[in-house]
Amino acid sequence: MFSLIWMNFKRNKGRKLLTLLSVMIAFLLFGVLMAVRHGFSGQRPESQAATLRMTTLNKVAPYSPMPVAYAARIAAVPGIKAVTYLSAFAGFYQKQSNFVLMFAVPSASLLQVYPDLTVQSDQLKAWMADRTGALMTPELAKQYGWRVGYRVPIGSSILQRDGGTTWDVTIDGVINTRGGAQFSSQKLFMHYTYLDAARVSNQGTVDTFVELVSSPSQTGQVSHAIDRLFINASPQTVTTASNALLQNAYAAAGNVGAILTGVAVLVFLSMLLVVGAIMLHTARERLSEFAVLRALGFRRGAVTGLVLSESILVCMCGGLIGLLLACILIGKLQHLLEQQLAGVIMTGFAIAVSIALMIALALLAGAVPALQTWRLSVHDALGRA
Amino acid sequence: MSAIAVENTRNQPLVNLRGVTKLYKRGSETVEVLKRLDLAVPRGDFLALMGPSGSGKTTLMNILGGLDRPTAGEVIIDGQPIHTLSDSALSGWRARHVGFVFQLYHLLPVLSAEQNVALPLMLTKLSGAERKKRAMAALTLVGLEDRAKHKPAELSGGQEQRVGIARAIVTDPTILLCDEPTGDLDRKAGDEILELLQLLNKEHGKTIIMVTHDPHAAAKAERTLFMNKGVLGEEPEA
Repeated sequence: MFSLIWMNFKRNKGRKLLTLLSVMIAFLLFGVLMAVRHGFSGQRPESQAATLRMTTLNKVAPYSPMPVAYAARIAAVPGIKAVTYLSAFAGFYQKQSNFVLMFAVPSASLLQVYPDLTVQSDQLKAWMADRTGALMTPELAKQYGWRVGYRVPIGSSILQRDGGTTWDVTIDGVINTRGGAQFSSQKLFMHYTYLDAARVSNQGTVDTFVELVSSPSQTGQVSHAIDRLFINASPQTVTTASNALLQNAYAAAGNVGAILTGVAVLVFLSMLLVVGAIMLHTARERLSEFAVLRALGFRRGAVTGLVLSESILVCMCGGLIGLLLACILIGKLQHLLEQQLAGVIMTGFAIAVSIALMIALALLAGAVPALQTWRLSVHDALGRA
Repeated sequence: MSAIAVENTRNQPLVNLRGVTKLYKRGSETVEVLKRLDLAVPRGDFLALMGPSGSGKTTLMNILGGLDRPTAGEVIIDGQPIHTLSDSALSGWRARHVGFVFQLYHLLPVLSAEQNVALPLMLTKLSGAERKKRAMAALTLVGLEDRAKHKPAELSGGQEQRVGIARAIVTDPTILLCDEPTGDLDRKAGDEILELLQLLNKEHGKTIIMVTHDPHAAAKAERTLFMNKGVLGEEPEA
């Protein structure tokens, strides 16, 4: 029977190729949309430590300066294991398009709050001892060919006391992730003390405090406790679990996920109409052949199965190729979008949904021709032929 | 089965129609295509059915081949009352007992001659090699063993019909039903097909029922019955 399905699959090569291409492009688009939607959902593979982290921002304007002195008061809140802080700014290497995301952090507490990050002990020691030292992510090393020991100038818009805007840093080590934490883009970690001492404005301030608590169940209680500390201060703070913060940020940008889902549904429906019309036309052309098969003794179910299996073969072949191309494309996009949308990945769930949709598309597109074949009157079909 | 029962089966006609009526609805009108028709065809017979268009010949063939059901009456073939069979059982019965030869050959264009002939054998438990062997034997019988790998589009009309006959006989069916087998062929090719059918009847003992408009084709059969307005007769209506 499979040989018969395969022989039929090979007929009308031009039409079949165009149908396969349509399905392939639809699932390529669908796969990319699912991955981008995932990026906007703020869901990432999390390490255990990530679920224990909380972030404190300026309540009035997130990522606006807050006094670094808040850190000591936050550290005293019961339930907090460690606190760090950071000031982030956009830097560039040699030309403005060579983007580098700079984090000015206190070297002593960074790895306490981020136990899911790892630096070789000798490199960590060197960095802690080097005031203008920096740790780079592997992606940054790969992108610009940097190695440990390199002295690199990072351009910025932050004015220094000497009138310059370039930060000369020495690469002392490479910072890696473990336990699935997402912290792997083109980031460079410099000392907060270096930034704060050299810059002209916003001295003694940071953008973000990051806290590590003992248990995820404590996050609600601890966040209230932190924000209560600064209720009469200026600025006030807002503290949330790190992941929740990310999701809120994406939600603030509009419900992009819902729009992308809508587009994906439209892609699916248009594909259903295209493949359905082609399958209907193909089956109608071959009604006399189906009638002959029935006359030869093939059962109704077997002939109907022939129609459906062809629809499944077209949708699965085109769909799987499209999905594979989507995975390759996402792999490339991931690198480019890391800064803007770090969670753009093809998840197992997205793959499972895509395959389920391929089967649904095949069954729905093949349903009408299959029904026609099921109801086929053999003598009428042979008579018409 | 006892010896007496076997003997009784042999003495019974292979095809036995009793009071077969077929009604069709055309809009609000009911048309009686077959009128309480009786027919007995002995094993090994070569029967031609003639008659004008719309007389009910093809309907009768469809009922004999289990492609259609009578509105009333009994259709017993080789002792089996096929009018009582379910759709699925009827499909299985067709696969084992009937070989169809169509006017327009109805070969599957994507399959080679050999694959077309082997098609009914897909419903058996034979191995691929055995199916191929039997298909080649059938093609050899119709004189087309050298065209086995050719697709229908690469064959002449006569050759296509011979492939159609090979497909019809490959399962060694009880009965061959031929619907205008020479209707789409020129005289020479038609004669070759008729000679082939005669050969299958005389030398291989096949029971053949053939619908035809052509008196020349009907003359090749052992006997001819005439259909007119749903009734069978020995003589054509004047």
